[in-house]
Amino acid sequence: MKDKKDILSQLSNGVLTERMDIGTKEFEDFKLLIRSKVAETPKEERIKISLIGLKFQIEDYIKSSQKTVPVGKFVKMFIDLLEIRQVDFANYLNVRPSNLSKILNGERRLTIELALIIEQISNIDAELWLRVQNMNEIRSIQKYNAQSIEKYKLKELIN
Amino acid sequence: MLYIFDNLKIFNRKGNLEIECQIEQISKDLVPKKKDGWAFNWLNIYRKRPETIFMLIEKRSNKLHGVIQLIEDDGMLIMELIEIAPFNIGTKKENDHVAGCMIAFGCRQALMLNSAYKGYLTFVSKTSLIEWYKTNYYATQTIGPRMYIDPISGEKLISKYLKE
Repeated sequence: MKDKKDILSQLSNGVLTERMDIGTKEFEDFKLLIRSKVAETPKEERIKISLIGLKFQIEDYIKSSQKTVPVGKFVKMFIDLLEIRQVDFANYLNVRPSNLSKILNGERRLTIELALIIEQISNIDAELWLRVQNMNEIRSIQKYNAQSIEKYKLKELIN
Repeated sequence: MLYIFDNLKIFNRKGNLEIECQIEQISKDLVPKKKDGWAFNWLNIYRKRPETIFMLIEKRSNKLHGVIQLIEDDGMLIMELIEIAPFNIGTKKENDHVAGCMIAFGCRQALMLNSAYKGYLTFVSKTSLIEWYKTNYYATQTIGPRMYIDPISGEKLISKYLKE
C-alpha cells in the first residue's frame, strides 16, 4: 500500500519551500508572533533551551579548528544563561567567588567535581566540558612545546 | 564557522541500506546544477551568499543528496530554501531521511541563536507540503503558509536525524 505521508514521491521537483517575504507587513507580523512565543515560554524552559544551544556550541568548538576558547569562557556563558550572578553561583556551590573567578579566567583548571556539578545542572556532559579543557591544553603544548616533545622516539627507546 | 556532522545516516529504499552522510558548508565544485536535474539555480545564491548554503553529502563518494540555505533576519533563522536531489523525489525516490537531516540541522542552528528568536526555525512552506511539515516535522502553521518549528520539536528532530 502506498504511504500517504510520503508526499515526496508525488513531487515533480525537490524544492520544499517558498522564499520568505522579508520586509512585508505579514513577515513583520510573523516575527512578532515568534517573539511572543519565546516571551511566553516559562523561564526554566527557556533556560533549558538555551543550555541545549550551549551544548551544541561546545560540540562544534571541539570539532573545529577555530581560535582557542578557554573552558572558563564556556562556564561563564553557562552562568550567564542561568540569569544569575557569578557570586550567587559560587555561593550556591559553597566555593569562594574568587576561586570561581579564577576558573572563569583560566587561572585555575576546571575540576572534575565542578564539571560533574555543571553536568547535573545543565545536562551537558562533564566529559564535554573536560574535553574542551584537555583539547585546549593539548593544542597549546603542541604549538609551543612541539620540539621538546617530538624528540622522543620509539626506535631510540627500544634500541 | 564551519560545521561538519559525521555519521549521519540516510536510508536507501532499494537495499534497505544505511548510507553514511555529513552536512557541511557547500563548496563551489559541488553546487547543484540545473543540467543535473536540480530545480533551483543554486549557483546564483552561491555567488551572493555562499556561507548560507549547506549540503548533505555521502561520505564515501561526495554524492550530493540535498542542499539547504539558512539566512538570518534580525536574529531570526529562516530556512529560505531547501531542495533534495532529483533522485530522492518522485516515484523513483531512492533515499529517505534526506529532508529530515537537513531540517534538523536547521533546528540545531536555530538553538544556537543568541536572539529573541532562539530555537525557532522559520520558513514558508509550499502549499502542498504544509500538512507534510506538520505531520513529519512538528511544524506549526501561522500566517498563511509561514511556518515554524519550535525548540522542543526541533530537539526531537535533532535526536532523530542528527544522532552521530
